[in-house]
Amino acid sequence: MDKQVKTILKLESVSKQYRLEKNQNLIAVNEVSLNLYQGERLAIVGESGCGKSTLGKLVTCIEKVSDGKIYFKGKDISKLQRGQLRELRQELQIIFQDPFNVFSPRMKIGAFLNEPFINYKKMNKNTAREESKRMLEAVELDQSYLDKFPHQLSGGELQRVVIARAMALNPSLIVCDEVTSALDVSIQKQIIELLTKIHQETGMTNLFISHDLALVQSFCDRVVVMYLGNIVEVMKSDELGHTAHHPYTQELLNSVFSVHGDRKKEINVLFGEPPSPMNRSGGCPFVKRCVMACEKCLLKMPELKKCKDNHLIACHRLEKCEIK
Amino acid sequence: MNEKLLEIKNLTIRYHNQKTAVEDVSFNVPQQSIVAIVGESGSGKSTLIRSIIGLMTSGGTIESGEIWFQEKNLVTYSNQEMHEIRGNKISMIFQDGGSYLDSKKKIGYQFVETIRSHLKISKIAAREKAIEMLKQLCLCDAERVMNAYPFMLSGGMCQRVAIAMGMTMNPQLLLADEPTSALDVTIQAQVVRQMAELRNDYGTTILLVTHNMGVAAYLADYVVVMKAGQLVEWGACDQIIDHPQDPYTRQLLSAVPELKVGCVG
Ligand SMILES: Nc1ncnc2c1ncn2[C@@H]1O[C@H](COP(=O)(O)OP(=O)(O)OP(=O)(O)O)[C@@H](O)[C@H]1O
Ligand SMILES: Nc1ncnc2c1ncn2[C@@H]1O[C@H](COP(=O)(O)OP(=O)(O)OP(=O)(O)O)[C@@H](O)[C@H]1O
Ligand SMILES: [Mg+2]
Ligand SMILES: [Mg+2]
Repeated sequence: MDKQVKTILKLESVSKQYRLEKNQNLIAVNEVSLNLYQGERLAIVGESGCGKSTLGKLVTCIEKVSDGKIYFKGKDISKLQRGQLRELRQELQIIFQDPFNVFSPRMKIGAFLNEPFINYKKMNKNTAREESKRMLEAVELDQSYLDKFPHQLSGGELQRVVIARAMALNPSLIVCDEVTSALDVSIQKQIIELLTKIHQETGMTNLFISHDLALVQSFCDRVVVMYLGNIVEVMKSDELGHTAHHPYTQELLNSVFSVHGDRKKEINVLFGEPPSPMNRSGGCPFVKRCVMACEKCLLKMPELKKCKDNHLIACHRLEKCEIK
Repeated sequence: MNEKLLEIKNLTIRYHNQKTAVEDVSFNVPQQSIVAIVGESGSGKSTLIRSIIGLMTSGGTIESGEIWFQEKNLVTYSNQEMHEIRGNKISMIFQDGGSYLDSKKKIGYQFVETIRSHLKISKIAAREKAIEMLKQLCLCDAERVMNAYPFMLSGGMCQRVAIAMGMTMNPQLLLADEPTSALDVTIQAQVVRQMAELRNDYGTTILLVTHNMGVAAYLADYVVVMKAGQLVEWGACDQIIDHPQDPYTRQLLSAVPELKVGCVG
């Protein structure tokens, strides 16, 4: 990944706040800076509610940033107006967590798949239908699905249709938000193989949001760990299992249920309460739940710093990375 | 084996006149046990679990078979009788839990309504109960969650709201369709512990569908494996996970990505 790495997406101190009732502010994403390289598969993992989907929506311009800038292929896309987004949509696709919400109940799968071909590629209905068949084949569903309604499909089948549609326009960046969580492991494997194939053939960049650490480890090039809207660690994914050092990343690794693990073992539950994204303190977001916390952690937010090649970490205690 | 709380006998379900979605499936769920259904996507897991409380999606009908719950065959129940059982004795957490929430109403309102449709308690008491349950599922911002509309919550937060709603009724049988699919591993661990506690403390019997073989292996006493509408094998968890007999079960287990941890070099 060293030579001629082109940055396809650059985030500069990106924040997203939501205004709630009674003038309260919720910070969903907090000053995130990140480079995504062309052709890279970058994973985002982290606690439920830590801002992963929000980040995905910011990157694909579904939500507007509150602060900071996002550059896609060198162009600032953080302030685009609706009209200007249309073109970008072809290049930036997002697949959501929940396939059930994507469909309108009365639209047949065929019509759903035809849409991008008709709207963007200006194809006529018949050609679009042929293309749709091809897309369905790619996700291993036969053409009888074209005439089905969404409620007639299982969760996994729906998600495959969603993936098929996202791939239709050959985007250069795709955000996959929990795309496999509704799928059984063998279909998950097929989907990952499909995504791998697409990646090899098209070099599509993938921002892959997932809860499945093992999957991330095998599918992605780098992993970003988020906690409460902040990036706390970035590393190569094949090093996740042994050089991850942020105390939160450690907790994540310890919480995985392994099939052949010890079934009598006490469940590892992270102590303390997840903090609220509304009333942030000045210190480290993880301080209240961290076994290593010291006074400095209470007072000052640690910056994300390089601790060695390809490894960034935001932790006062590990700053100098005295990791052996 | 303990007494059976639920017994599925030769159940066959079909949508309209298409191929059967569930075909001649039989197994039982012992009192106070946790049973996990795993298997292929589209194999009829949701169809099966929903049929127990008579909530199949449109066009689904039970063609033959019996569903015995506490000595009663639920297949013969009228809508009215079913309605009474739902929520009181049996509750269900749906696969797409979040989308069962009404997008136009605040979480708090929906939660309180749900509780009060089953329990005769005041709004304030219901609200307290709701908040307590949310907190147990790591939604410490419970007040904010109660005041939010569903779109203001993350996927995993909506899923936990749905779980909380399913759990507050202290049902005798909890049906949970993919309850942890949208959760990160630390919160998943908390939810799994919560379910184990529900069984241990209240004797709740749990039938859950999950794609997470690790969760099934940890939580379940018995595992049911399904493929293309049929039950391929079922039995004690140890037996299915450690000594699977059917090739499909083996294939399923081998497809599980395992986390590689530990030092290298
Ligand atoms: N439209 C909104 N209005 C108010 N708050 C919001 C809105 N959208 C998201 N949030 C809040 O922002 C935070 C981050 O949400 P987000 O969906 O990005 O989390 P996530 O990391 O994707 O979680 P999950 O893993 O559960 O999907 C949450 O606390 C959520 O409640
Ligand atoms: N309302 C319906 N009309 C027609 N067919 C349906 C309907 N609902 C489900 N099906 C079909 O029945 C089969 C079983 O679906 P079901 O949702 O029970 O599967 P599942 O095992 O829960 O899958 P997943 O793991 O993907 O959620 C699928 O092939 C699906 O397409
Ligand atoms: Mg999300
Ligand atoms: Mg299902």
